[in-house]
Amino acid sequence: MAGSDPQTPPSRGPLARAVLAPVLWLEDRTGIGAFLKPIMTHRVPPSARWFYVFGSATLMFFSLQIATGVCLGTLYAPSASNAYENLVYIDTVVPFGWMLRAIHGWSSNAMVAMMILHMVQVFLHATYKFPRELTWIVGVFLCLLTLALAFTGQVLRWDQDAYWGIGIGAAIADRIPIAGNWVRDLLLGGPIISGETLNRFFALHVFVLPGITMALVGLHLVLVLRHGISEMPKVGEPVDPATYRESYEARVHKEGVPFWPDAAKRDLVFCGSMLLLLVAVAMWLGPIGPNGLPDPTDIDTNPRPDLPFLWIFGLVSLIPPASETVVMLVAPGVLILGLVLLPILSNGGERAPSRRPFMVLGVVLAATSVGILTWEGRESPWSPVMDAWSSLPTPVDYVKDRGPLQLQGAVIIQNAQCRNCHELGGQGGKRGPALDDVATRLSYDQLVRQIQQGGGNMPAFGKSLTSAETEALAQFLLTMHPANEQPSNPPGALLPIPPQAAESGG
Amino acid sequence: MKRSPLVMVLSMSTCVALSACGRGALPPGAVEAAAVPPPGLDTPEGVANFWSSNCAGCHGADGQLGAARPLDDPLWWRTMPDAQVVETVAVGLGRLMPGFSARAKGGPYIAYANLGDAEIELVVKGLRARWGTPGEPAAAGAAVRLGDAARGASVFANACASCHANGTAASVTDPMFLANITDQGLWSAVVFGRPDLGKAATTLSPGEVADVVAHLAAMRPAWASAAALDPAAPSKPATGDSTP
Repeated sequence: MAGSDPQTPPSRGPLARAVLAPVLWLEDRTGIGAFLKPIMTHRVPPSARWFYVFGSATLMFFSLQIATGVCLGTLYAPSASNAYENLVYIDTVVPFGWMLRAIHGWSSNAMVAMMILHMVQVFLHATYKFPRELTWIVGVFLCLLTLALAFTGQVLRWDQDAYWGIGIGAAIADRIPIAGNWVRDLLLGGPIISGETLNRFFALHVFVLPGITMALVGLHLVLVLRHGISEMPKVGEPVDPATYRESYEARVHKEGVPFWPDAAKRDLVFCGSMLLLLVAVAMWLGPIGPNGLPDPTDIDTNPRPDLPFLWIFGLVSLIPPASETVVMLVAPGVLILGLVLLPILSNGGERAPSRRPFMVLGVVLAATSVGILTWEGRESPWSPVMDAWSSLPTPVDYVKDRGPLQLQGAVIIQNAQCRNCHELGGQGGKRGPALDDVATRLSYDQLVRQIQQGGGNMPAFGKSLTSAETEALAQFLLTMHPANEQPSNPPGALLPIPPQAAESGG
Repeated sequence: MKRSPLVMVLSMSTCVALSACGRGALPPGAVEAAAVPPPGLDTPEGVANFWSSNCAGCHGADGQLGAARPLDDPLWWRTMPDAQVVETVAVGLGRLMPGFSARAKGGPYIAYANLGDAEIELVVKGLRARWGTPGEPAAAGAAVRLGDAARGASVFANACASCHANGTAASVTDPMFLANITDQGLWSAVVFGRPDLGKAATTLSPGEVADVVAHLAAMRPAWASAAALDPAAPSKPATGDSTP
């Protein structure tokens, strides 16, 4: 900023004057320096230390997204028939094209992570209270925009993950009462996923969402400057809207330090370290996707959403079917409304986390839930193991001492691909219950009914298995009980009487 | 000398950025994938991988103690010519052994059927090298011949019934068992037994085996016709009926 100071001391030599002259001319005609100086040197509380760097890092990653996004825009063609090859071309032919995609992809995740850290910090320190309510509300919308950018960007990869991700998104939109079909058509550009869909998501990801985001980031920064950076919360110093502003101004005027360079240097160091980490991650993990051509007829696939949405994937896979509409449509609405109304409902009082235990508990609960659901989404144990039937041998103990018909049943367990969803000896799918002790839960009649008619998320096999195959399968499954545990004996069922009991019983 | 954190960060990121140059112009995954091609089906490793992902499910991890017939049986390999094994792998046998080639029309349950006969031949050759007896002349074949059912009934009563009669734990006259197994399957079961489960190969003469198989086949319930046992069968009666 020193160079743009119009009051040049007369003691400078001729060289310095020659260099400074154009700068001074520019400053005189535009006044940029005079405009920026109060912004850069505005006084911030001295307690504003390392906790306050996350917002700057989010902005840094957003700027990086714009820069790399513009570069990718020169290489990418939003055409449904070519998008996939286009990505392969960027990865393999364009010099360091893969690095560009890797940075854009991982920086997207980093931006979401920094935004969440920023939001959690603001929430825990109750910075959203008076007079910064609107800053928080704009931030909530920036959060939604960031997630929307991440989702639309994932769709542009136009691979299997994108195809199924957008399919699930459209199915959720379809559930909206009355307007569902209309919203879905608006998103997809018609009732089905097509080239139109890719064009719409391209327009959203490249023009609409970044434009709105930039405008709201500007508003967010104006509000931050207008109300000043908040101090670290102190126990026993509650926010009182009647007196807060005066006392804040007085304290900052007395104890505050200029933003540049005192506070800005922490932002620079943190952003630089994060950038370094990002380059390392992008370099070693490479670009995200593309994972296989989008082929709706290929069910032998295991699509996953990107990291920020894995927890939603886990959530919708695990909730009971009856609660789906509530969880998918009502809960997000309530959550967003709650976040927007939070500073309106609670704009004064204590800010210190130690005085707001329920808020801290809420953060811990949310972090734990999202963490576990992300893990579940990554592992997705509910997905069938598509090659279990042909690659996982029947446990040897389940083959020994079985009769010919039971051994046929053991073959049918493999052939009918039961193990893609059911474990046997700890190996196989986890979608359905393990079959190792199924005979202790189901009687012969119940086994046959379950095999033929399915139910409880299990498909019916009555049409694909003959009656003799069903019989063999049931006879094998009836041997599936621990040696010391009796098979299932439902009330009223007729059990064969053991020979010795029949002889001695009389 | 006092270093500012900014200088340190900048120099560190320069180092990282420079180290990226050594990684070349391809993404990390692409470089590694190109370096190690998977072993082909003409190598023992390739055949072992094929076995683990396609055959082990029913025939056991090491070719024995699976739900279906053991294939580590030298007697079996001595009897079965390559062509017959290839055909069985390609189109399957009955409804219990699925076909793995495109010719199998997907079979009853198979989600994918994409092998060519040349690949199957490589696999069979590899398996024979693993479990067959080396240097042996090619087997003559094991076509099922049905003998006389009435003679077979007396052979069965003398040689088999003590363990395998109806009502025993190892019954092979159970109509449900017979409905699931082809004549070829019955023949193999009698001839080779289940050595891995302690059930030895037969001591009957080839003629007696043919008679027993005929006896068992005759006991197969009427509703379990050949059509029910053969996944490709539904198309056959249709063409037969349409012939004038």
